[in-house]
Amino acid sequence: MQLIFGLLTLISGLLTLVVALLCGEMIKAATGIAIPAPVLAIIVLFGFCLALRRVPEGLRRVAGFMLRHMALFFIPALVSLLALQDMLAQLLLPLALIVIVSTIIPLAVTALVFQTLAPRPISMIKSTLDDATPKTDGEKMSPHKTTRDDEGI
Amino acid sequence: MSLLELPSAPDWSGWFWLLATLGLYVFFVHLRRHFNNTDWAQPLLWTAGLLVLALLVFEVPLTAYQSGGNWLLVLLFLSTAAIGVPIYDNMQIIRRAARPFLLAMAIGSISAVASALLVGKMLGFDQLLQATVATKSITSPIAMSVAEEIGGMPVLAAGIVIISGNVGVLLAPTLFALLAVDDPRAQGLALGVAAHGIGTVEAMRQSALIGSFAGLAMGLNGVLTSLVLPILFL
Repeated sequence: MQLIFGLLTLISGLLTLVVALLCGEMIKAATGIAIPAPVLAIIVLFGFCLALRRVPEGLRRVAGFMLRHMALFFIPALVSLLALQDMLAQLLLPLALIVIVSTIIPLAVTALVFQTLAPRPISMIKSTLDDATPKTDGEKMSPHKTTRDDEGI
Repeated sequence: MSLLELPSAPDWSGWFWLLATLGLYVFFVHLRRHFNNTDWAQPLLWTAGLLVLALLVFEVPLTAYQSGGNWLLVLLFLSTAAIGVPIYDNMQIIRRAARPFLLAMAIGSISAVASALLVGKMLGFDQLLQATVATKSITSPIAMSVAEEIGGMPVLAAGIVIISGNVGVLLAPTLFALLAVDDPRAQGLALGVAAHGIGTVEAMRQSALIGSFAGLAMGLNGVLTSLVLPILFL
């Protein structure tokens, strides 16, 4: 009985994602807007949680699982690069240069700008310790608990 | 590709490659755990590399692989939509550091697009390639759609984004140590902007705080860049 209930919870979570993506597709089709459907779906899902004032259990579990294993879904996209092998053979060095340069620059710029602008709250030291244990696959995606003095600018 | 036009059911070779992808991925995930989660044991890179090697050695046409593999791409779009959940979860932390967060994200995002376009220009890339590399700081499912929108190559865009993500994850620890970036919020934010999905997965494995910042940065940065790029390339 509990198994069936758990299964239904998961299915409802998956259905929520499917419906959000369909909403994204429909908004895109209806308005012809130049925003990709998955992006619209993120906004739809965010609005859905905002309206509910919580994340439904099934949605949380399915979303957490899919985000942790997103790497799996990237595999066909990488394998499909085979279709471009002739082009890639010629562009390998230029593309490698672009990838390295414009990955290091935003990594450094973003981290330095944030660290310069955001004063570090005292609670930070504690929260770092709280988070020191690595998450395992079985755990659900939980929001980080912040304290009052975790104040930005 | 969209949910309204699903790929057709995989044929038997499609099923074979789909199962091979799943099996190899699970194997490499366990292998990484066995090696204490070292950075070089990325399941994504090893699985994709072995599959490409197998397709080349046995002279299997790519379409045979894609007959099954395309179904994983549908799941990729679904998992992109799922980014809405961590964004909702972490609304409070982000709101507390909203201004530095948004400013750092915007400047980082601009530096990513600008540096990619600048290097591209110096190397004499044409419009097609420029429109492709411009998407490199967007998470790949969004990047594919944006590349299509602004006249680039979706497949190449996704590949560049994923490889950038891996490069970012490998370089980040050294870079953060060199620059004395020890605020986990700053690390997460930077990983989300520069290493998107791969960076967020890695960040989530390090801590919930780093992961939540990375997830939000990836989502917001993807959304904002995808809003700005079509205007830039019109």
